Amino acid sequence: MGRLNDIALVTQVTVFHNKRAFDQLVREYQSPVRRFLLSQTMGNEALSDDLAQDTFLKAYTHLSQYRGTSSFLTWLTRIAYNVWYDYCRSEKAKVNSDQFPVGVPSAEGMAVSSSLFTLQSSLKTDLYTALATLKEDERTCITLQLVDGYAIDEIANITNMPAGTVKSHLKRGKDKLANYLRQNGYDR
Amino acid sequence: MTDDQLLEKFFQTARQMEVADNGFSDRVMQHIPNERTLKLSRMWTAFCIFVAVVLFVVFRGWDIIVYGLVMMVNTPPTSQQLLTFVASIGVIGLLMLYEVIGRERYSAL
Repeated sequence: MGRLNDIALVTQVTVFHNKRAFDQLVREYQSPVRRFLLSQTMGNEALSDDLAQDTFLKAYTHLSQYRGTSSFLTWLTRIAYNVWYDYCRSEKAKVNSDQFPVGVPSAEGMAVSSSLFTLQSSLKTDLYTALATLKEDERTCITLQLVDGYAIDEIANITNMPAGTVKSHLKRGKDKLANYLRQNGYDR
Repeated sequence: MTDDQLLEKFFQTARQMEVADNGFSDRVMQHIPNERTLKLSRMWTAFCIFVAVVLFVVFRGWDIIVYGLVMMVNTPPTSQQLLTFVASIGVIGLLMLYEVIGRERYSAL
């Protein structure tokens, strides 16, 4: 969907309160937003769907603040990141960070998620297990660049981190992942 | 194989991953607040502000503020009062900062 079309739909929602236009936006962008959140939760489908729903509801109530300087998907991803960040903070407040459950792939989530994607189950498990070796910020930067294809300045905009910090997270994350993949024979 | 090539190969499949809708969009649309609720919420906020302003004028709220300020200037404050004052200003400042950051999170792009 082109940016002009997105802006036309956003205008339809904000000016004419056209819910069908928002429905079109949700259907168009649900996949990348849920994929991003699945990577952050490492395959916990129930949690990522709750967060994705929260993302779209926040997008709806703040739609008039979308300036159109970036793509609508980038704006949505920024909201999704903020929703994820708030969730992590609230969970960390509840649980001691050593016992924080988000960093560990949930067997329940993995099992449920297998019905959802057009990706082989073993590949998915490999992906989330590999991502589990990274810290939260590293995982976010790595998935935004290597899965969603964002440039460093876009990642900095989405996460509100300085570009230098994003580069550091990417460097450390890539080193860790490459080591992990070599140790597990992915380079053969 | 270089690290970049290895990562590129590993994430190639993940890039093509499409998440099936499976009723997700419908669930989102069911939770969208309707315009009437939003309008009522805005009207209620406006009404509360209006009532606060009217009460402030009717009860000459500025008299209380001036009296409080004069008392504060004329009476040397105890350390506990000073601490309470600083804490109050701190809380107000934090709330304002939170509001500004909250707005910035949605309007920066």
